[in-house]
Amino acid sequence: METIKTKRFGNILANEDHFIYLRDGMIGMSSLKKYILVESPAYPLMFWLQSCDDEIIAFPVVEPSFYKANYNVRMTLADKSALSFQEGDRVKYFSVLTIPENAEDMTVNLKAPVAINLTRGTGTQVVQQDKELQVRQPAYKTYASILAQIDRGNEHSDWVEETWSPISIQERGQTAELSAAV
Amino acid sequence: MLVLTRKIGETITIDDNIKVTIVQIKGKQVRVGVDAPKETKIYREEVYTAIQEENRAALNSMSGDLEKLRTNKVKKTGT
Repeated sequence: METIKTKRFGNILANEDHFIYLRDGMIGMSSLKKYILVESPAYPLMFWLQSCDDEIIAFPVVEPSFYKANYNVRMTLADKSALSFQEGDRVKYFSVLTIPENAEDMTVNLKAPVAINLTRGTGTQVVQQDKELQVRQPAYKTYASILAQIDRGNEHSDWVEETWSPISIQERGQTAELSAAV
Repeated sequence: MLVLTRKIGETITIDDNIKVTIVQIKGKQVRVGVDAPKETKIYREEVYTAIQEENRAALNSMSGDLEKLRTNKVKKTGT
């Protein structure tokens, strides 16, 4: 077990199964390669791709399917190489959210999803050629409406992967003072 | 910046394993072919820059507002 320092969640205990290695880092941040995926009840519907090497680096991510049905991600040979991808590997995609001070202006990046190879614990940010996919697509309305569904008691959970799961700081977190995160 | 003049079909070699070929010239547009090792990621500069900037912006996300957003939503559905 390893203790990961995070600004948002305090210290998190993680083991080798939790680590996601981004050979090339996130775009523009190539030196940070080791991440964990954290979920927290304080931030419904999203996960945080948290750097293990820099406590302040954490990307909020969501299911792209919230924003685009049949979201088909195309990977190049370079992407597959970064994932050490082999036929039969299970890959899951996440889109990075940007939540400015006014949350109603939040946007989602559908142009460059983060691919995570669940089989190998590797990840990479995958740039899509599709010109219709935007780097800053408005995300508030959809987020709020799915959230409202949940608040009405309709559970919305797409997370059904058995081999691998995010760290839920409720279950496995070590310190996790949630109020400090807000 | 190194500037080289090339004709259609001519190539520039970078290191041992990257080749950049001028494929077509049409008005103000140039089609360029890049041959590189499979782990090399190649992007259009403006797309790369936009994603880089967006990643930085994402890191500044003010998630404190999310709870506020949710509270509003609950109020609305309650009325």
